[in-house]
Amino acid sequence: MPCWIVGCRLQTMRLSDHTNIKKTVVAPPPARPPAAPGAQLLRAGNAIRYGGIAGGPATAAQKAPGAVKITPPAPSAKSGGFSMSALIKKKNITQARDAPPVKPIEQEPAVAEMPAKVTYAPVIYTPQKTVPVTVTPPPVSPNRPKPTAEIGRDGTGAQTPPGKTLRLPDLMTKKSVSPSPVPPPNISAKKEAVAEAPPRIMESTPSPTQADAPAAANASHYDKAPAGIYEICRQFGIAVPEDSTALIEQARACLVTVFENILLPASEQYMIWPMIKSIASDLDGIIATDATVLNFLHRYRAKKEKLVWHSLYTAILAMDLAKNEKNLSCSVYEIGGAALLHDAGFLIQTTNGFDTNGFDNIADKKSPEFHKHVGKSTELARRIEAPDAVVTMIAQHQGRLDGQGYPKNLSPPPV
Amino acid sequence: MGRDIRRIFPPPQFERCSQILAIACIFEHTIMDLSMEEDEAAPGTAGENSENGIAYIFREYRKAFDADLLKKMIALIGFYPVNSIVELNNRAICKVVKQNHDFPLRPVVQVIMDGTGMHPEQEKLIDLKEIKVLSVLCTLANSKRKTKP
Repeated sequence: MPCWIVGCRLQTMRLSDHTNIKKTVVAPPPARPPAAPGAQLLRAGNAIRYGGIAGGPATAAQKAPGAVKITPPAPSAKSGGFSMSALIKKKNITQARDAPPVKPIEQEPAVAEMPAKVTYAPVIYTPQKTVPVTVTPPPVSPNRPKPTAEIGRDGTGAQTPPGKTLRLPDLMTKKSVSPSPVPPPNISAKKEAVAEAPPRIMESTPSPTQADAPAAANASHYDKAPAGIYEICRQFGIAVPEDSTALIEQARACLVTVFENILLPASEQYMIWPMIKSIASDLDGIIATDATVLNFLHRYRAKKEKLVWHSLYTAILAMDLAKNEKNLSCSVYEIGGAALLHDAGFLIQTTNGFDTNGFDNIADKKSPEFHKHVGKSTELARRIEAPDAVVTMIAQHQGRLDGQGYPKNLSPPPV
Repeated sequence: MGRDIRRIFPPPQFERCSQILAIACIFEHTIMDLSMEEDEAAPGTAGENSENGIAYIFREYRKAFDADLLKKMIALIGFYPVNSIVELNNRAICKVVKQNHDFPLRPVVQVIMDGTGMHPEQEKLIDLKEIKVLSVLCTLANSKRKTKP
């Protein structure tokens, strides 16, 4: 029972005739919200004022069996353990000092009071029940293509055999416990493999991009660009061609096809320039994803098809250089396309075609015979309906500002 | 008379795009041939000369192109291209394996033969950017490093 109630009742009993009071039944007060510490202090003060606190030992009236002893509740946790409550707890409040002994009042526990002693039931750990999950294979149609790689239910890529029963804890912990089926690539071993790979073996040489891209963290700022591009593409879900070797090989095969068909009649050349543009786009992708492409170009240099390789590498160099230039009159793709076609005139000049060393058949590069390939390349570019900027670049690719090249009467561009 | 014709028909301009293509063509034909394992460099290229390919290009084409473009291309490829053989000032013969783009004259080299004429048992890389004492003396021509049977 709160102290302030006791105090009020004691006050009422003092003012009234004590003799008339035979039995007082204290009704349980309604539940109240927890009071603030200040209000509790006020109640404690009232209790001291009106009820009095016996500071000395218990008197005979207090020890009488009819005396009502009120035990204040334990300090509430919400009140912060106020000290006055502790004082009240230690002292017994006598209901009436001089009053005759009355029958003891049955105390009813207040609703809002906390029990003096709180006993906690022992918590017995009971394991959670596991819900069995049965994996059943979905119905597969006979015409459905077999997937190359599937991610298992545990997210690790491991396949769950059909019919096996998995439990939920297994599903939640298997991802972190079970080892990945694909071991992490050994970067240093790959680098050594790349370094020790024999030159010009395109099928067996591992991709330098895969080995160099993770190692770009310790590289220079120029070498970090591919790693950043990889990360951005992963975030946006863009498929990045990680195998530069395959891309170069694909570009070489496409360029061979172009050189084979470029001498056909004009009516069959409508697809030549789009193929050139696609090759330039592939090479641009190689440059963008692998800034160290110039470091390993020599490994793929073939003895044969020298004209093809020369065109490819010239395109890579020109596009890489043009990327840093501003205010150019043409696009990077057009520069790449012009670089792919700039020596195509040798296909007409030489009887061996592009399958041999091409322009090496003409020994003297300063002879007028050598310069004829410029006009023929320009003519081929016009036949395949290349843009005018491409035709101009092919026509001037042997030019020099000092008048030593071909054509001789070139003037420097205005600054 | 000639001046009047030039006024009426001005000579074509050597476009910057065309210069890029011409520089790339020359560098490819000179540098990439030099870096081939089996030396089949075309006549007139730096593969026949004992000097550096970049120095050859710079000497031959210094006035033929825009200096800014030439500078950018040299910065792109490096003064000592990858896979070229150089000699250090401690008489070690090394192969260039990587460029330091901030220091084009100080690439990362792999020692082929040390100063005493011994081949290193393990792969030894030297970053000339870190070791300032060492520097590249010259580039060795492919014909010099060929061993005669």
